[in-house]
Amino acid sequence: MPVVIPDIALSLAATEIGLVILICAVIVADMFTSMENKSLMGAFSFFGVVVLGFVALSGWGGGVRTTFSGFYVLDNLSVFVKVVILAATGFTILLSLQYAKIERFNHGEYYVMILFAVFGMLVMASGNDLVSFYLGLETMSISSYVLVSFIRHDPLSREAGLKYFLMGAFASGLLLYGIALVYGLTGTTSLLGIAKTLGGANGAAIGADPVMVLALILIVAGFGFKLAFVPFHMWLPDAYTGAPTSITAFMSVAVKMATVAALMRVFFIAFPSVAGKWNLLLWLLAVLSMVWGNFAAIAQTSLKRMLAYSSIAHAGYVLMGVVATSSFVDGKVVFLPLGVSAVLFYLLAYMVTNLGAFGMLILLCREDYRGDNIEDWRGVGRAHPWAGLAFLIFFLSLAGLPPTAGFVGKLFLFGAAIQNEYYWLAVIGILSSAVSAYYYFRVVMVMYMETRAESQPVVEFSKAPSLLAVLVILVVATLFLGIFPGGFIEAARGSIAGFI
Amino acid sequence: MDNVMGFPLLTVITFLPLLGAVIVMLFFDREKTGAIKGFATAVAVVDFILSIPLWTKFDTAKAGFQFVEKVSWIPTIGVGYHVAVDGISVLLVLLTTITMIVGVVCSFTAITDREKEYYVCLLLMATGMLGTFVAIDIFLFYVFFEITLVPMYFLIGIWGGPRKLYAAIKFFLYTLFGSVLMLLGILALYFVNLKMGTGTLTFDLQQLYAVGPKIPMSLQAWIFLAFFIGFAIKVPMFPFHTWLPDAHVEAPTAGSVILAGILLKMGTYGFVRFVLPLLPQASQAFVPFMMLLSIIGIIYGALVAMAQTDVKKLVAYSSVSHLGFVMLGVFALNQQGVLGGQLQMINHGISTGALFLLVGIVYERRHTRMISDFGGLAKQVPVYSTIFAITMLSSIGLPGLNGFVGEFLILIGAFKASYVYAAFAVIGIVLGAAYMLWLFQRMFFGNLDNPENQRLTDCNRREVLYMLPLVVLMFWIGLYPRPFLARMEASVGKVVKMVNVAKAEQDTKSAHLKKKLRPAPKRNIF
Repeated sequence: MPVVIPDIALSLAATEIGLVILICAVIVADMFTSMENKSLMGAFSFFGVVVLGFVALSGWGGGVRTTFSGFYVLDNLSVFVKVVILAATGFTILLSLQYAKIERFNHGEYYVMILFAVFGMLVMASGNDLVSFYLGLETMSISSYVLVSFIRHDPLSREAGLKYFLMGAFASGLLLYGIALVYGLTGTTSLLGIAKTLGGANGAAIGADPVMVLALILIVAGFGFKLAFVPFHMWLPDAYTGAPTSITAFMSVAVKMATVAALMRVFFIAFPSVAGKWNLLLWLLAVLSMVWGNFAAIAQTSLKRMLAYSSIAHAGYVLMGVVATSSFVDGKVVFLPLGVSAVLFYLLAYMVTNLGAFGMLILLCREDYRGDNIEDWRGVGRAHPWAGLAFLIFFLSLAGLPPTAGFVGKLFLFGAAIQNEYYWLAVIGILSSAVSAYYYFRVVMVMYMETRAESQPVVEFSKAPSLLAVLVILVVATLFLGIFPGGFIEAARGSIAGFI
Repeated sequence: MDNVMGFPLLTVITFLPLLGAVIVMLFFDREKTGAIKGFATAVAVVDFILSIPLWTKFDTAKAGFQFVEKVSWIPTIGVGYHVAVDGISVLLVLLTTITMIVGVVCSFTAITDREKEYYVCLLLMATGMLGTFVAIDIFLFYVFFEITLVPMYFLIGIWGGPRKLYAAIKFFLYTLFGSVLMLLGILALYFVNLKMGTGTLTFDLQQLYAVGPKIPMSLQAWIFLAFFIGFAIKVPMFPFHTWLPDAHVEAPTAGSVILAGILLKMGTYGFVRFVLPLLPQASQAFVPFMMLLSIIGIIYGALVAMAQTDVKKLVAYSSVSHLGFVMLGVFALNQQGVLGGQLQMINHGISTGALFLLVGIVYERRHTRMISDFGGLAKQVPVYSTIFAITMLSSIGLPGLNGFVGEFLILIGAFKASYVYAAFAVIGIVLGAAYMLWLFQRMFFGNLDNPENQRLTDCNRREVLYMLPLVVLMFWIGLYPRPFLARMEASVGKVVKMVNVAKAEQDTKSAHLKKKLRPAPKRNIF
């Protein structure tokens, strides 16, 4: 086989390359910064991320372009995902500035690890090959393990990190094994190549091979672990509770966004001809996640843990959108674009909402006090009406009530399910979403309708301007996406161009 | 931009309370409760004054929508900001603006805690309710429909009675469960329209009306069920009524008045506005089922009301019974029935609202609502007793007062639909008279034994003032219902025609199949 030097268009990977430069710059700058001034690294990273966001945005509308021998693709879908991830990163850094000092982990490495994770995510969003996708996934995962255990002096955080690492490594193994089997069957790791082989002359035989089924199960399980679908969710409540709150927020939105985007790319591009098989599996996972996530959240007394379970349920809604994209006509699959755009819009809506909700926890965090329990919020709505109102808006959005982003997002997801006649999925999903209102509004009840006990410390919110600014932006964004979602819906729709 | 009036009247009416709420939130000091009360009252009064043209300028001959405002909102998914009123909604809008004044004024002394938030909630409520009635875009309708949940949840949960938390969350979840299922129904309708209707993405009711009768019965029945659960919980129809007594008993007076007067009407209004015209075949097919539930509601509600020891709970259960009447009329699917149902919605809002106010007045003084704690009040508080007597009689349906007109029309409608329905409904009327009169007897006649009651003071000027418009309305509708009915007739006629047109077609077809052995049976279109 002759060696061909591939034609590499570096400009298509401008965001990633820029990010690597930023990472190096932060590492170097970190060495010359004193311990008290580590927040400067955060500010530096933040501005870098903002610039990169615009760089990523400039790739919009250029059609489907591949580079690195087809390992890497830049299309509207990847641009949308990247911009949202970078936005989430920017918010996360701002949320962290004060919080890192309070929890005493204000090291430059913290921001570096976040940026490394983001690098992995961006690669995942553009991964056009099982190998490049896997590389991105691992970069993201390993950085996340470190970030979860970043509060070194807190045993909970260390435990969370270890659990997450063990489960994550196991999941990576499953995924890799699935990828290996696929490679063995089809002789390629390229997503398009796999689709071609499966759709080709021998495709039906390969598709029916039990090894193919095993491979699909392994890949689904791998994704299931990473996205914490029930029954692969066991690590999530512990990891989310133990991790620094800023990282919990970051993982719940950015990691999810990247992994879901990769999941859609892998299944829709590589495996359309066996859609009947994986779609059923995903259907099951979606139902289990929505139902179990919501019911388990009811029992929680820790607000952080409750939000962790609720994020399982939200992953379930998102998966519902993925499932609802496939429509089967005479055994042949047709992908309808509404599902994908619904998933993208929902992830955007969830990003602003969930970052906001976790941001509220950070707002109540002090040196001697964490606002992680529902009890800690007793009577807060009364004494601090504005903070209460902000939290209320985030809860409304999480519960999917108008006029918030969450409502429009859910409307889209359920719309996709209804359009493709997944009626039972929609009914189960929407009823479990009504259940979720119970536990969200239990917190609202504690905030507004119960009085603070004498023994409880006086509520004192953080006054860090960066944190307040982020929360204001997120509240406004949550409402704006709920009332004027038009432009963002267009963007989510435009993301599908050239995808399916 | 299709604005008949030039001036966006409905938008202003709908969003003025929201603006008021925001102003209270931002600019009013929570200590200066007097200013907040004054401002809230002013907003409510101005809103009512603005809504008067809806009464005077309303074209009674027109069946279609009036005061139309239409602006594109989220064009990519076919959502428009489309508001208008017709005969079905115009009186409900007016009822809402009146009720809001009463709701604000009756709270002056009853609410002494966190007044700022309280009036903000009341004003937000107003926007939600008004929006629900004026929205012609079904997406917009749903948004307003859901928005009302939150302030009501707070009204019950913060300012309610001893079991307020339980009542608040029960109200919230119950209604939410119904409305999310309805959302699925709305989405199904939306996509059916895309597939076999206009072929466009639209939530606009006027366009969806066209696709309704074309939906195959198998799907229509499911959509009907989705809407049914959403609205039946709101009405509430038996067996979905259990949230209502809890919510009513625990809610503050204004909350109860709004709940009974307006919120419940959203359910019955929903049936008339959406279910009947959009799903005509299914509506026809489900008539026996709906009638059965309505009749159970009427009789069961009345019997349970009779057994109550708490006045407020009694009134709450009487609501279940009265709403059963409304539903009975609506699902008679003929002109008299629907018209009666529509009028009875207004009547129930006035009478039951007034009853809750009266209960609130006495509760504020005595801090008890147990019937057994009262007796012989007629001598002690004559003005209060007189108003109570009039209200009670209006609730029973005494000729000359508003309840009679509505019930009479409903009975005619039900009678035309079937003798059986009417016969059972009459039992409900008798029971209704029984529990109300018995209540009145226990509270107002007999000896003034309880020394606590001997210190009871009569209605003050403010109380008389806010009761007065309601009493006037009771007599007005009772003695001269013409202007009210005239406003509704044309639109009701249109709905009745829409719900029967599909059936009429079906009948002509089957008549043809029978090769004209017998002439096709004539249907009651009117």
